Amino acid sequence: MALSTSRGMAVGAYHLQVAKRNSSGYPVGQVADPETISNGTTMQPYLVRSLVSITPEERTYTTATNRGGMTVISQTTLGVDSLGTGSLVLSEYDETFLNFIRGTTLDTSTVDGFAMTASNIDQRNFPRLFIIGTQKFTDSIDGSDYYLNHVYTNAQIFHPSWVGLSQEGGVNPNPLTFTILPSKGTKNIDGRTLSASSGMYVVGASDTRVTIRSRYPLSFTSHKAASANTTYTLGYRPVYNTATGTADNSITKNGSTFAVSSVNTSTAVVTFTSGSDADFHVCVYQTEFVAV
Amino acid sequence: MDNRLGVIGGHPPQVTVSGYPLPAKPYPTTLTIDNTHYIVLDERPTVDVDAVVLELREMLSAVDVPPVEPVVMEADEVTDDTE
Repeated sequence: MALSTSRGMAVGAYHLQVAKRNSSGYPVGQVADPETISNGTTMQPYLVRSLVSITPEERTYTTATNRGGMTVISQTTLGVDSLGTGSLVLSEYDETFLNFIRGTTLDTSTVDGFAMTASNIDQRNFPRLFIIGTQKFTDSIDGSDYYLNHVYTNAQIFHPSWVGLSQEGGVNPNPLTFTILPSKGTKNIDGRTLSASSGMYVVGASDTRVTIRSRYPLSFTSHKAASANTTYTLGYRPVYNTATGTADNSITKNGSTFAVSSVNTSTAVVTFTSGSDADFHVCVYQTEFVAV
Repeated sequence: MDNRLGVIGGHPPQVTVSGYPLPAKPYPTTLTIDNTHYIVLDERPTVDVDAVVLELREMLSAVDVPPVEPVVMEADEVTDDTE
């Protein structure tokens, strides 16, 4: 059902999902190398389950003032001169997340019984990421609940400190704080190109963030197809089985809307007509995060 | 069936392509072997994935069951449900 313009209360910090971004601007899940992906690969984001908060970055703007005759005649904004940095806080020491943002791998095989994580202090190439933070939105007009999904289209996350130790107790006594460094991306999370002339009318056809309101929280799955492929599986059961690509679920192939044959809400399998090697599919779907 | 193979929309594999325990669901990265089967990739596989895929595809094609010919019933065998 199409949503209309609304207003309401944005509260909570429910879900955080991260996925690497390749140089074409697509989300590519948790692959080791975003530029080298075999045909037939299906990629899921990482769902972080210990989100405490996300503090958005504060942009700064260059302004100019026209002052003469002992008065301010006018002022204008010239544009952004810094994108700023945001932060996020997790309640848990999450080995998957810590290694994911560092480009390292949790080593559980060198010593049986050890799980080792390095700080990777000389790291210079941080993964480019899509980040989705989801909160609840209580609509003041129709009185029902929705979700706001805040998407970073091209960001990096780093962990400036190490894990602290303290004698504190209580709720979340030892949270981990991370820095978000946003940059501009050319594609939305759904694979569609941002445009200055359609859709959200984004100036310069690139942006740092997009916010999507939906009835249920959003997740996404990417699939780089082999020509014979006719299916891929979503990470979680989708709420809706709409297969048109432009309603309830966003489905694209190579950045354009792609109607598939079916979206199964039980098995989470998306079935489509076979195409070409390296076709890039992205499905953004509403879900309650029930894994298949 | 090879324990690295899972069935799309059905039974999952038992180990990753490198033979390690599976990560939590949803599996981060999977590779389609054919339109029925898939494998779960490790973040950094310790085996030659291309070689494994080839091996598994050959194994699956070798056990392919030929399609069953449809049974054609003779006219006098046809029953009438309306009776």
